[in-house]
Formats: sequence, C-alpha cells, structure tokens
Amino acid sequence: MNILFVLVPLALLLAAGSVAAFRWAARDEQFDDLESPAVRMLDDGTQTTETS
Amino acid sequence: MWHALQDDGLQTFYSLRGGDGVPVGDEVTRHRTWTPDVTDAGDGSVYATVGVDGVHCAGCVWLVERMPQVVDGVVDARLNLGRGRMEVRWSPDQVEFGDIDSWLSRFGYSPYPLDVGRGEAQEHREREALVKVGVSWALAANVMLLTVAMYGGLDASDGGLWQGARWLSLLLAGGSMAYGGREFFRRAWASFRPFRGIFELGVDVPVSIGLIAGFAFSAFNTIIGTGEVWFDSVAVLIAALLTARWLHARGLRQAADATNRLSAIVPQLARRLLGDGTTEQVATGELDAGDLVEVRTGDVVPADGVVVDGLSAVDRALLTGESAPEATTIGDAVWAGETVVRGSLRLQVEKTGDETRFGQLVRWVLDAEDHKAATVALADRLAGWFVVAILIGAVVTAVVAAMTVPEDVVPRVIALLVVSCPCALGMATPLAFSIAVGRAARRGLFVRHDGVFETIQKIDAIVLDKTGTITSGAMRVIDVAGDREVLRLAAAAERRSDHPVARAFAAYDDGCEATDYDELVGHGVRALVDGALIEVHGADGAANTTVAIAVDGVERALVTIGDTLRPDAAALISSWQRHGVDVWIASGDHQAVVENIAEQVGVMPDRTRARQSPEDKLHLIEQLRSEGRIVAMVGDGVNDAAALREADVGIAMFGGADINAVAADVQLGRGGLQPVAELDAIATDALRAVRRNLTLSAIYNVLALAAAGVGLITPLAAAIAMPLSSIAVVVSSLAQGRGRATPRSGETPSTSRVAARGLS
Repeated sequence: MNILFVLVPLALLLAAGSVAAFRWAARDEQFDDLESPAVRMLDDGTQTTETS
Repeated sequence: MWHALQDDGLQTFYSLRGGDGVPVGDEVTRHRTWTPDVTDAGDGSVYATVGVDGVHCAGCVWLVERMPQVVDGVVDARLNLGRGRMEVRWSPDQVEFGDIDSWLSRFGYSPYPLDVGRGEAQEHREREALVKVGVSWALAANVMLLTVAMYGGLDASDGGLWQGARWLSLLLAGGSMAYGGREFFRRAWASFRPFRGIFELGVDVPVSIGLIAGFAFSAFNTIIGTGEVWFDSVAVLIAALLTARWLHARGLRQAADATNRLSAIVPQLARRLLGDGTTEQVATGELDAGDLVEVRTGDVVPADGVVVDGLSAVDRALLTGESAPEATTIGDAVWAGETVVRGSLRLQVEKTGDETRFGQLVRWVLDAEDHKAATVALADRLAGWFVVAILIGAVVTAVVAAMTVPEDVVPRVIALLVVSCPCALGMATPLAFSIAVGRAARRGLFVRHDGVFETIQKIDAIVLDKTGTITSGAMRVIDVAGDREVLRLAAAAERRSDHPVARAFAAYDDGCEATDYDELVGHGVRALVDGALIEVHGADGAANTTVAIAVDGVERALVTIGDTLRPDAAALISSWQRHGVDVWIASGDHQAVVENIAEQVGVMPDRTRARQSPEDKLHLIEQLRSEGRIVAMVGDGVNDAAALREADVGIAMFGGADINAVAADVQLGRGGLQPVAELDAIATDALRAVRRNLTLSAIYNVLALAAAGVGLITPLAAAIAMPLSSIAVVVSSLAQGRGRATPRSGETPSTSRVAARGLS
C-alpha cells in the first residue's frame, strides 16, 4: 500500500495539469460559445458554385 | 432571398435550415454608414466582432460562415449562434465592411455594432467565475477522493497513510478556502465591519462561519493527530456555492444581451463638412457642437441639431412614434436616430452622444435606477432575521450537544451552520425578477425596476391613449366620395411614396404602370398613369384625413383615410374588463373619432375623454388615484409625460419623446396592447417563481435545521444539501414561464422594427 505515497501525488499532478488546461481554455474564450460548434459540424464542405 | 441563395450557389442552406420555417426578412431599405471597431490582425487583415440580428438556426450558421468562399477579401467568419454575434476577418484593401453588411442583408441578417466596453468587463468576470468553479471542483473532487478512502476504512491503524491523507486534504481544502472561499469571507466581512446592526448581516456570514469553523477544527485535529476532519464538506460547499453564483452571473448576462441592441441604432460614422466643401468621415463620437454634418437619403441622423441646408422628409418614428415622415427644411430641428427618407440635409450639431434625445433614452434603459421591489426589501429584512436565528440555533445546539453527546458538538454545529440557506431570500428572489426583466427585454418590453411586476398585478384601472395603442397608426381608406375607379390610378401614383397615406392606397393597386413620378413634400404626389396625369393631394377634412384625387386636372374623388383598429384591441380590453379592470381612453384626438373607436372596442362613453391636453390627462390619473385605485397608463408622445409619472405603472411607447423616457416605468418597443398583456403574463410568472422560491426555502430550512440540530445530518451531507437547495431555487427562477404558452413569437424588438420599416 505504500505505493499510494507515489500514486496520490502523481494523481494530483495530473489533476493539476487538467485544471491548468481548463483555465487556459476558459481564458481562451472556448467556453463562451457552446452551441455553434455543434451546428458547424453539419458542414460537409460542399463546394459552392459562384455564378455572381 | 431565394435569388440571393441561388446566385451564390448556396442551396445547401435549405437542407440545414431548422426551426419553424419563419421567413427571413427581406432587404433592408435603409443604408447604414457605420463600421465596427477593427483590430489589426497583423498580416494585412483586420477583424471585428459585430452583433447579427436574424440568425436562429444551423442553416444560418452555415450560410454566414460561407462568406469567405463567396465574398472576395473575407478571410474568416465565425458565428456565435447563442449570442447572435459574429467575428469576421477581412482584408481592407479588397473589401470593406459595407460590402459585408450588404451581403448579409441580402439574406435578411442585420449586423449591428456591439457596445464592446461594457460587455467585455462583464464577460471577463463571467469567465473568471467559470475558472473558479472549475478549480474549486477539482480541489473538492480530490479531497473527496481521500475522504472516501477514510470512509472506506482508512484509519489511524494505517499510520502514515492516514496522516498523509489528512494533511493532503488540509492542503487541498486550504487552497480552496484561499482561492474560492475568499469571496464569501470578503462579502461577510463587508456586511459585518460597518456594523449596522445584527439584522443587517449578510447571508455570507453563516456560510463563512461554517467554513472557517469547519476548516479550523479539522486543521487542529490534523495537527494533533486525532479526531474527525471535515475538509470534504468545506471543499464541496465552496465549489457548489461558486457554481450557483456563476449560474446567476450567466443569467444576468443573458438579460443584458437583449438590451444591447438599443445601442445599434445611431450610426457610428458621420459625414462632417470641411471648410473647403468636401466631407470627411468621422466617428459620431468625435462630433462637436457647431460641426456641420451631411446626412443623405437612407441615412440615420447621427446627432441632434438644426437644419442649415436642404429640403427633406425625415422619419421620426423612433422618437415620436409618428409613422408619417415629416417635411424638414432650413431652421427645423432634427434629432439623432431619425432616418432621412427623402432628399438630404445638412445640419449644425447641437448635441451628441448621450446628450441627444435618443441617447438619453438609451441611458435610461441601460442604467435603470435601483428601485427595490417591496418583495426584495422584505426578503432582505427576513435574511437579517434569519442569520440571527441561525446563530442562536448554533449556540443552542452547541450547548445541548455539549451536555448530551459532547463528541458530536462540533459536527452538529458545523452541519447546522452549513445547511442553513438564506440564499433563497438573498439571491433567488432578485434573480427571479432579473430573469423576468430579461424575458421582458427580449420581447421588446423594457422594465425599469422590479416593483413594476408587483404593481401591475394589482391595477384596477388603466388609461389608454388612442393613436398607436388601440389603433395601429396605419392609414386605410374609409370612405370614397366620387368615382371609385380612380382609386387604382391613385394607388399606382402613390406606389413609390413612403407616406402612410400612400400605403392606404396599396390595397387598390392593380399594378398598372406609373411614370414621371413626382413628389411634392408635404402636399402630395403626381404621376402619369395610363396616359393621364394623376394628382393625389391633401384636402381639408374634419376628423379624418381627406385626400383628393384629380385626373388631368379634374377632381374625381374625395377619399377619407383613417386609422385602423388593432385586431387584438377589443379582445384584450374586454378581457381586462372581465378581470375587474376599469378601462379608460384619453386621447388628444376629436370627440367623434375617439367615441367611434371606443365603441368598437367596448369602452363606455363615460370612460372616454377626447381633446385631452397634457394637463387633462394628468388630472384624470390624479382623480382616479384619489379614488384609491391603482392606475396604469399606456401612452406615447409629449402629451403623456406628466400622466405617466403620476400613474402607478406608467407604460410608454419606445418611440415616444424622451420626456417619457424619464417618466415611465416601462418602455414598449412596439405599439398596441399585446405588449401590455405580455408584460402582465411575465409579471405573473415572476411572482409565481418568487412565491415558489420562498416556499421551497422555508420548508427546506425548517426541516434541515431541525435535522442538523439533532445530529441527523453530517457536515458533508449538509455541504451537499445546501447548495442543492440553492440550485433548486435558481432553477425554479429560471423556469418561470415554462409549461404555459409563451407570448407569440415572431415579434421583434423595436430596432428590427425600425430596420424593417420599409416593409409594413
């Protein structure tokens, strides 16, 4: 069970990494718009033909 | 719009379009001269964030984001569907924003400028709040990880591991206290330090005491090596409370978004005349009094001033609600927000920005005074009592427990402090009202203070203006004396006119050709139809507008044109009367006309007043109030200002004069009685939500406090239950109005109305 002395701090380090990533993402305004990306997925890149 | 899509090969729009098939608007007839604040991207392109009106589905996102492929020079376009804003990047040397604006307008989307400064600070705060929520939950989750181990059997017999778990919990929970908990302590201290009395303590006080006590005892026990620790309760409580606060901030921001559109109306750019006769484009904000500004056909006047040159017709609907364009000549005053529909003018600036009539209105709406609704004031007082009650309860529990089960004293006290939630009183009641204000704003009803929602439920008398409220303000042919045949000729002649009188003829238009169109501003129109010279001009009439139609110089018909009744007016008025509300009509118009309209909507002659001056209307309101009635007044135009202020609920038409803006409690973005009915519905929902919140809160607190006092709740359970109750109250506030038919959609706030004015 002594392995926990290694595992727990390691887990915390990973958690800290995730939190840092979350903080960066929030500051990068990625959480500001959660609806449009879902809708943007529907675009399959159909080429448009320009006639004007 | 179909053609626009076909031209650009964008038929895929139809496959992605969602919603109920609500048709997207047609081309906007106004010509805008604003450009947004741009930021240099550094590689020769610039980008800007603008609001976009009219986007509502997947198809719109797809369409707008096609722009780079269709419009040369546009590098990127991203649409934020939820907030209705777009970030677009383009090369200024290849395309200008006006082209982007035009392209969007083809599909019925209207870009409008965003008030960046104001919104940005709020967005920043919201983002920071979100970060806090994320970090706090991360800390809380890890503390729980360790605590679960302890619940699972990790105890003193495991020696170092157990100690390590406790110390680690202390570190993590301590971090959470310092980072997330700080704002609770700060607010508690702020309500504590200028000691205004024990009943003025804020709701954060018990929360802070609970947090500090819990953490302190746990820390102590960790250091001495024995005893219970409650770091999990502390950490979870902080995280959950921060989540509730974040949701609250989001709700407020969504409400603010709706009122953002108001700033869009006055143009950003103006054409200033230089000494040598040329014009330069300057930002509207840089205009000074005394500057000469040119405004062309289709443009919106950027500032208040006096006309120094040019003959034109301006649409003042925004300010006065008058839909008829007014002839404007040298010496006349013009105001910011008006549209020049014909001709052009040069004006000398007198007032700019916030000082203009329209600017004052916008300020009124955005910086509404802090009138506390009676319910909120009551809730604040109750919160104070509540805090005292909790503290007493904590002391009692501590004493009783110390005598009966001494080892349980601390957890019980902490559980009690933590589980009590005055949050419903302190937070959710104002939240229910601000959400109601937001709901109203989205429907074009601008409520100045929460008290309106309460008062409007209690009214037993309502005084209505006639023009624009009961009637539509749009003209229609009522009677024809003479040759009816000429109506279609007149319709052809009037086809190109914007005047409301012209629109009355539209029903008779059969499409025959009219050439040599000539408009005499303020007099009438003239055109050649089927070879004959048709003149349509105003004639003397009694109560209604009379128009004479002459063919080749010979007068052939006299047409009476009058105001149409709004279709919903009669129904709404009788519905109010059935509910015991006394309906009055007070109008400045002629007796005969007012009585006629009154009869059509079911208002008795003894409840009508015609030829009312501003003083007359005021007296009527005063008289009704002296009878002990709670009076609402719906009006517009300079006539009604004093009366609106005197009434218990003053409801003004947004297009009304700015004096109304200060006097009224509610501003309507569109005319008619329907908005008033909607306001009533929203108020009902709001009060229902408030009552629901207070009931929930009361039941919860009684049960929870009792349970905590006798030791049925552990601090952790308390930490989970309390924010849950908070969130339940927040959800209940947000859910107001669900489960009943919401007011008819399809009606948009007044800015869109102004833009689409050319359509009606």
